[in-house]
Amino acid sequence: MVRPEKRRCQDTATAIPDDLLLSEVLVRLPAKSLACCRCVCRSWRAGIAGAIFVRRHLELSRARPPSVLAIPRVLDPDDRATSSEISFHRLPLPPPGQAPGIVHSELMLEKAWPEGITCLILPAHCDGLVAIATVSDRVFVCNPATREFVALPPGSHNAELDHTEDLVPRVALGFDQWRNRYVAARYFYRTYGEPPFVDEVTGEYHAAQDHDVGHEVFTLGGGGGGSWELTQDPPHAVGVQRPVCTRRALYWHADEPQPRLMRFGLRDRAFDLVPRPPTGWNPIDDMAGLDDGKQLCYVHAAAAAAFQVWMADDDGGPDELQWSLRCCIDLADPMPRVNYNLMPVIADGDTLVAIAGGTLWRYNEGAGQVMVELHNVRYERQDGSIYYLGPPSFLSEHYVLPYVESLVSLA
Amino acid sequence: MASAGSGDEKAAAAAMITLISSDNEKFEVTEATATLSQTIRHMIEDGCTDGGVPLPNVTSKILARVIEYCKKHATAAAGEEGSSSSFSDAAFLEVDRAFLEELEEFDDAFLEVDRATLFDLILAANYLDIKGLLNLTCQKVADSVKGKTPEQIREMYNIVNDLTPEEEAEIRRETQWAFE
Repeated sequence: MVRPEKRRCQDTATAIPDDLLLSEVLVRLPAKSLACCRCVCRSWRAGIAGAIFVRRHLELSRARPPSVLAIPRVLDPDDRATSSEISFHRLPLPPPGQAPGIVHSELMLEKAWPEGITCLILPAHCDGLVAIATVSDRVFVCNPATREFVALPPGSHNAELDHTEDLVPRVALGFDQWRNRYVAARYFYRTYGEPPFVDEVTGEYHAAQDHDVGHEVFTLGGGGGGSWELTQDPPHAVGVQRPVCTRRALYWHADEPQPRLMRFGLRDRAFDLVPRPPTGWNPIDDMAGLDDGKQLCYVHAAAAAAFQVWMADDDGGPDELQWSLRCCIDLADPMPRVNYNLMPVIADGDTLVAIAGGTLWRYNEGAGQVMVELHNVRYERQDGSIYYLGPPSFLSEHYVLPYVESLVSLA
Repeated sequence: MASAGSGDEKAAAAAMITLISSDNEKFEVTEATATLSQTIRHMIEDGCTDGGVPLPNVTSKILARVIEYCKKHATAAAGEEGSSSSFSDAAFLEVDRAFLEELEEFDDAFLEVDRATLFDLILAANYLDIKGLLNLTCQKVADSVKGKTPEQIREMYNIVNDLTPEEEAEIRRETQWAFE
């Protein structure tokens, strides 16, 4: 036991103090290396699990070149069909200007879930965490970097699902800086009186006599009692648009009877209505949180394959959203499909990376209206099967999200 | 090294700062070079640099290397500022790229040192608060840890394992995938 002490004296005249080693050196390591570092000694184990370490690690991850996370799903004609596994793949984005070629992805996590996860899903992303909404209304949360994968407990019954086969009730995921916790949020419908029915003679659908919409949040990492907590009801029915989380709030879109934007403030946990961008509404419009949640983005599908990208700053500053039209994007060579949406994934300087028609596009504002298609993203599963990112079909769909590696724990 | 910066044409205009290492060696550098260190920048702002800046935590050997880094990066920063107004965009980008490539080569060569020196550079960069140098050196050390087993890391850093076998087994169980 004397030897290590002796060697320490001879070998390294200088040793880096533990706090500096943790806060400046180890924090630059990927999650996998850090898992090994936790095994080195007690002070490393404690330091790596600390909140300050996790925050700093995330900050450094964000400063690295952006990447995206792809979740491929094999679809089934039966909308409620399930699959007993799910996989997450990281795609490094090729540097701008590189000739399109095959981009190899990295398999981050392949998770078996014997109870089944519906083939149809809708994912949401925040700081390296992914929330997955399913047709069965079960919500899963995953950190592909640390390989944590949990099923959240069931929330309130969503009456909408009693008569809809292929609906995936959207889930939002965000960081509540006031409570220092990540939160998932979901909506659900309650019905009163006579249940909804389809008139067998006329085939006409009769909605429930009365219904309203509820909203609840689940606090990850403890603090919410491990269950969904009811919040104030949204002021209007929740529509089809993807909900988005910024630094300050969750945004849900209401479509009917007129388009409205509902804001759920994370600090005061209350809803209010905020201005939409001064533009029309299309069911395939999309929303995104960009620039690490500092910007709220609304994409209006103005015509077939022509999109307006509106942005509003939502990080400090005035409470009221100030929308500005960032760019108009015409996909140069629209694929012969009727409708497809443009989903912004990453805004990096004057570059906007978006997915449209199942393909990744890069739009460079500085160079004018140029869209570069990223061809042939290839990913491999553990069993050796190979997929290519391509247009969605009846057989498969690839969900793409922005991705940043983080150590944020779900426990 | 002691007369660092004396050949600078702008020397007449540029204020010179004297840095004094722990072993009492004096280094004269331009203010532009010295202020890459936030610690020295604050001292200059507070007007406490007359008669030289004593750096009791930094040896002359390490200080010479730190100054070498700062001179190179201060020149690059000045070059960028100067060129942005006088070149057309395309020319600027070209110059910019050449600068960055040269800087990258310099950084790579700069890191070709033994581990003890690298650690000393980290301590100096931390003490002097030179962000770029701290990033560079810490990333180098982090890269050397990447892919190593816990045993190898302990060996590298002379760390005594104070985890009980049960605790270690538990960590390995929790993140078994990282050890495969």
